[in-house]
Amino acid sequence: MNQIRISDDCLARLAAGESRASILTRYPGQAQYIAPMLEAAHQLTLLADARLSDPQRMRAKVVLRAALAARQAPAPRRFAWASLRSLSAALVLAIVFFAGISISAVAQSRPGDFGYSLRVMAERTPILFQVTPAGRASAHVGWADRRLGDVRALVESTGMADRLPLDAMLAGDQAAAERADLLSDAERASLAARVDAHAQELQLLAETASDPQDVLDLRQAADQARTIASSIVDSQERPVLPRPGSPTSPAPAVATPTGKRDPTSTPVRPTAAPTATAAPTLTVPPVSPVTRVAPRLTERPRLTHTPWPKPRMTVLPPGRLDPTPIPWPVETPTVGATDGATPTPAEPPDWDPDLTLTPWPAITPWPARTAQPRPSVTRTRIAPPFLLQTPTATTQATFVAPTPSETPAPPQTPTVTPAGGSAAGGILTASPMPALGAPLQSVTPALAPNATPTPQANRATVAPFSTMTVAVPDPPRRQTATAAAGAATPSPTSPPGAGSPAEPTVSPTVQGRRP
Amino acid sequence: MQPAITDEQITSLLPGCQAGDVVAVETLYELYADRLYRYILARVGDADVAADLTTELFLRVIKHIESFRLNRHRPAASFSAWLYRIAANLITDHHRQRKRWAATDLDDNVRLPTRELGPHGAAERSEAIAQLARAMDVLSEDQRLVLLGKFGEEMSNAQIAQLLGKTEGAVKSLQHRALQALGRLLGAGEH
Repeated sequence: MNQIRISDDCLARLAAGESRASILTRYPGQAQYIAPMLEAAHQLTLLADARLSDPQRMRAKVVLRAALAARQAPAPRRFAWASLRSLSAALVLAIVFFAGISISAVAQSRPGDFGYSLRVMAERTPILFQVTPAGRASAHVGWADRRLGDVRALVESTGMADRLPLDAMLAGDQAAAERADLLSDAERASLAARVDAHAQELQLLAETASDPQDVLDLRQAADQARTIASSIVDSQERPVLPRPGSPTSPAPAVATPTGKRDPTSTPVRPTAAPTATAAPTLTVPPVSPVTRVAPRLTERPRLTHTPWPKPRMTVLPPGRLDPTPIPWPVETPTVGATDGATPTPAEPPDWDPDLTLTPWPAITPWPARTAQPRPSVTRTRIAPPFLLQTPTATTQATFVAPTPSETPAPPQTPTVTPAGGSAAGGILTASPMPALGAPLQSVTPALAPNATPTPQANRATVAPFSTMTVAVPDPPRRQTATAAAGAATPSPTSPPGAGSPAEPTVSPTVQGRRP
Repeated sequence: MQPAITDEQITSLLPGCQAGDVVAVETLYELYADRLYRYILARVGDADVAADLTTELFLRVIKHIESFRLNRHRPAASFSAWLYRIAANLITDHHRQRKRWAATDLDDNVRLPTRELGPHGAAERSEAIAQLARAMDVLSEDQRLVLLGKFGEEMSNAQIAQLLGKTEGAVKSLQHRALQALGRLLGAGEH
């Protein structure tokens, strides 16, 4: 028989209450096999009587009721902690959520939006981490690039321009320009190109803007950007290099016509550019440190063309304009130049519009004279005595009408005698003569023998001093002198007070016509 | 012999137990307390520990009964299997804690639930149950459940098969091998 069936039958008999010995006698051949099973089954029947006692049941039910009560009403403390945790989590989530929204809104803000200022400030932060001047300047321009992009986006979308990004862009460019002098040439060039690109783009945007005020703002911003770009370019020129011709005078000297340097002169206007090339023959003594132009000026030296009058003494035939170029004097006629030659003018350098000669205050006005024969004039006009007795640089001019047959007046009187005695009919006009420290009478002979008056009326260019008329008592002469003075362009660099009636200001440049 | 638990009983009790109804929970306790107590006793061999573990078992039932999903095809069998699974885990935790603390109760053999037996008989009974518990620990869970169902709950093979989700032939086979193993273990323990 199958063992499983035997064991199942034995268990059934055991369960029916048959004894184990009786069961074993039924299967004597399987007794050794069945006996352990019956013993195990008998042991297991002990469990059938096992039950919880009533006290155990009651105790268990009390515990269960307490658990159910706790489940129905959670403890307030636990609820409070749970609520606090939930509240904290909700608060953190809300903060993160709104922070994300705010950051996103600021990052996508446009000019005019609420968060645009924050965005501008936030985008400026990386500039602070730039340590090198080049990096910081580039970061400033990059920041200006972004602002220009904002302006571009706004103009392209709405046709309107906002002032805030424009100002921010210019501020960025200006901040970069302030560091331009610390950069290398290549870096400055790149920087200037980027800023100039801003100006060009602003100009283009000004053409697309619809609002006239915005157009004006954009154009003004473009102009300012160009100015900044030019300032960056100018900063390249600040380092003063010694000129090839005059290594000892690298700084722009105040070139005086006399070739002398006024030791007390200080550059009121640093108009002399480093690129100014003086006349080759002009001897410029070593410039004192006072006259040096410092590499860094608070007022940026700009190379501007100053409409400086060039008063020249020219003797022309009457009724004829001299088309020939006027020679450039090397030096002012010196004392003793009585050999019959007019002051030998050197070949004037090509006029450099950038070169501005600032004679003041090295020049002391001195009236010059040019005898122009005029046949109709036969009389002699003598200046008042107080003029004749002050042969200093500040004296008044003395005019003596040219009289061919007349001998010049006292030696101190700067009498002009036309050479060859053919000055009859010449017009006597005055021209400023720079003060060389020479006495007045020494100048006069230099001009007198060399004045080669032509039959026509000569003409003299008079420096801007209208006070010359004071010394001329003759009404016709006064008219002539006044007209000449009026024709001359006033010196823009005349110091205040130099044009007083008693001290006429004389243009320093005296150019005589080459004979 | 306790009456068998029907599907209708479980189906009617379970919603109340999940809602925290005290009456439903106590009814459920009355249905399963002795069955689970015997199962635990057969594993731990100590009546008081088995009683405490039985109470703790029902505490776990109350805690997790909300998440229980009843099998509509065999509600009583699935719920009983869920309870015996909890009991098995509880006994495992108990054995683990006993090994950790290495606590030995000197009175284990004395405190046996005996009313009719005298002190000597109670001692022998307690020793027999403790030996049985040690042998039962060696068996598999299915073998234990088959033996407990057969001898503790006096269930038929069909009921055990329904409880375990097996066939009656499989239950007979399990029962046969379990008794063989248990007899060897108990005989080796005696010698």
